[in-house]
Amino acid sequence: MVEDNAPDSRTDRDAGTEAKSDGGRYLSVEEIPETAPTADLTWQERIANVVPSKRRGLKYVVAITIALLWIVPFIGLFMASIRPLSEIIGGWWHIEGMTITFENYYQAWNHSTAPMSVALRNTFIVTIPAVLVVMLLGVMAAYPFARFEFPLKTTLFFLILLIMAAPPELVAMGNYNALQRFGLFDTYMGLILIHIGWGLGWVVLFLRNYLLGIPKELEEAARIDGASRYQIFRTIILPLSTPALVSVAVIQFTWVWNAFFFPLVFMRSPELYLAPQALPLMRGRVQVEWGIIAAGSIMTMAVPVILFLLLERYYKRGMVAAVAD
Amino acid sequence: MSLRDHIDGFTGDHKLGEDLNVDREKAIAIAVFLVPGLTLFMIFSVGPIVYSAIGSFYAWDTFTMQDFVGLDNWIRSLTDPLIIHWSNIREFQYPMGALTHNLLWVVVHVPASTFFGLALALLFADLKGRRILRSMVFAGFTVPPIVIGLVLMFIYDPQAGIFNELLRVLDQGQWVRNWTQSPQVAIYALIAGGIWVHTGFSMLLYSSALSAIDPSLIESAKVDGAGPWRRFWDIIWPLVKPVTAVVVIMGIIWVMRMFDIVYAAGGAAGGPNHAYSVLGIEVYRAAFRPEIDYGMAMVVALIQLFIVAPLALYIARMN
Repeated sequence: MVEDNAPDSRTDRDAGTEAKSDGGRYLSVEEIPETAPTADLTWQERIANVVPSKRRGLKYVVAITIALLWIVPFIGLFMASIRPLSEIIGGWWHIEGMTITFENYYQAWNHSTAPMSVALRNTFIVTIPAVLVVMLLGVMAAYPFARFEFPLKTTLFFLILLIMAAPPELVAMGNYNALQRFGLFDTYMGLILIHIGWGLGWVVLFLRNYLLGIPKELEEAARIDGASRYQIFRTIILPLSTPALVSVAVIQFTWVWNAFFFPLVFMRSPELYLAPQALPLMRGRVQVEWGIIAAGSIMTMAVPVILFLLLERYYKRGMVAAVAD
Repeated sequence: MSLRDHIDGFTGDHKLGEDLNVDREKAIAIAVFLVPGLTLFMIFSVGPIVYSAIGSFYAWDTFTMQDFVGLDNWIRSLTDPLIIHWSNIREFQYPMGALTHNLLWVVVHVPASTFFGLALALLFADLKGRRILRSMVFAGFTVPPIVIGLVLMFIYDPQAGIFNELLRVLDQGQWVRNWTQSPQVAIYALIAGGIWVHTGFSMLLYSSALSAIDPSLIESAKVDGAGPWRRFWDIIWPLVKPVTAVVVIMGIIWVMRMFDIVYAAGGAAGGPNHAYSVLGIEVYRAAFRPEIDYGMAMVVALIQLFIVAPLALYIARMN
């Protein structure tokens, strides 16, 4: 493995098992450097020579093999998306005589019952406002939870925790009747509001925990300088919570984008179908249309996966903090 | 003092005492921050749950609440073979009822994904490129679960599926079948898929716990001649044990919410003859597919909540 050739790089924050507090002078004993150790690390050389390097090599082989096996299903999905159906049925793992075609993508994009072009656009229309509004309202609501005492605080806290554990199915019946009454059933707005209401619970809890870690002294100083609570929120709290807000954005985006149950219940007109909802409809009648399903799946999953890869650190840190704190 | 000037200017109420003024200004500020978010939260999350809790004691004419019927819906749902199928449970025949299937997920999926998560976290912990290795394992967790369900169908397909090809290569051709459509084994095939996806999440939580361990502890144990086994049980395990509770509880919550994967593989029926239906599927079918039975949908959704609520509160108490 040479992709990550800076084992003690300060950027690998979520995984910095070693060389963090001691300024990178100590490598863990198992970490045999591939290059010769620098001169000031001579005592490590001795230990490194004692440790059998064969075992470590074996560990790499096992680790890389497992990681590769783990993504085989996705490799298969990708292969299926770029090959004609006859070759997929013969097995996508046969590489010889492979025909590469983008016909599946074209077909999925312009599918007759569930066109991906429309479904992906709808998914963006629902996801982007649902994420932005949750971020804003979430950090606003989290601020009093972190700083002030107010009546019913404990009760609200308890409610938020309960709803974080509740299954989405539990709110479907009430929301179905509510949206029917408000005239928002089967509209973008209805689904967006439901995603906001559902996401706020964990976002408030998560941001509250983050805000608790910001020292109060900053705000007190600003108060003495005559700043109003709103100015403090805008000029101190918002900028300081940016990393947490990025985590919220990535995780909430993934959740809303990937959600299947809410669109299934609340979006009934075919022209309003969201991408996850459209995928099972691409199956075809006689023969399962694996190529088209695969192409549609790749297009749907590309957005959250790319987002994850770009903002991986925020995603992982947010995930860990959301459940572990 | 500029602060007081500001407050006075803001409230414009000079008759009240200064303390009260500050309190009032503060109360208004809290309300301004809280109200927009809490309103939406109350309307779209808390309200519907209360609605379901009340509605579960009423009769329903499709979507309209009728008369109070006491525990009628509860008794009807809990004796429904779709939820618990006693005679099939005795013979260990699927379908055994959605609740039983959900509990089977808990019993098989949660220990397995926890174990694999810890194993992979330990394996990757000190390797170069561990960030990439972890992301490869974790990536499945960011993919829409509906895609996971479709991928599983593809893997288990009798012709195009790589799992059946593997069986053929291993000379176990008699086992080749459409795994997701075979009632007696399909649930295990899906659970295997669930483990595949969820292990990445368990691994992530364990990895962050492992990275908090002071490496010098392990080094000194090594110098003292402790083997890998001793090092694990004496140093690593006591430090990651608290995380295990979180991993297990998150696993149970994830499994109890299972919907998309089952829907992708088995549709709204939850497989041939409901062979691997779960509670979420039963809620969906009772509420939104004819014959609509809102009362039963509410009861089943509440059962889901009752199973996970104590666990979530346990996590909260732990911190």
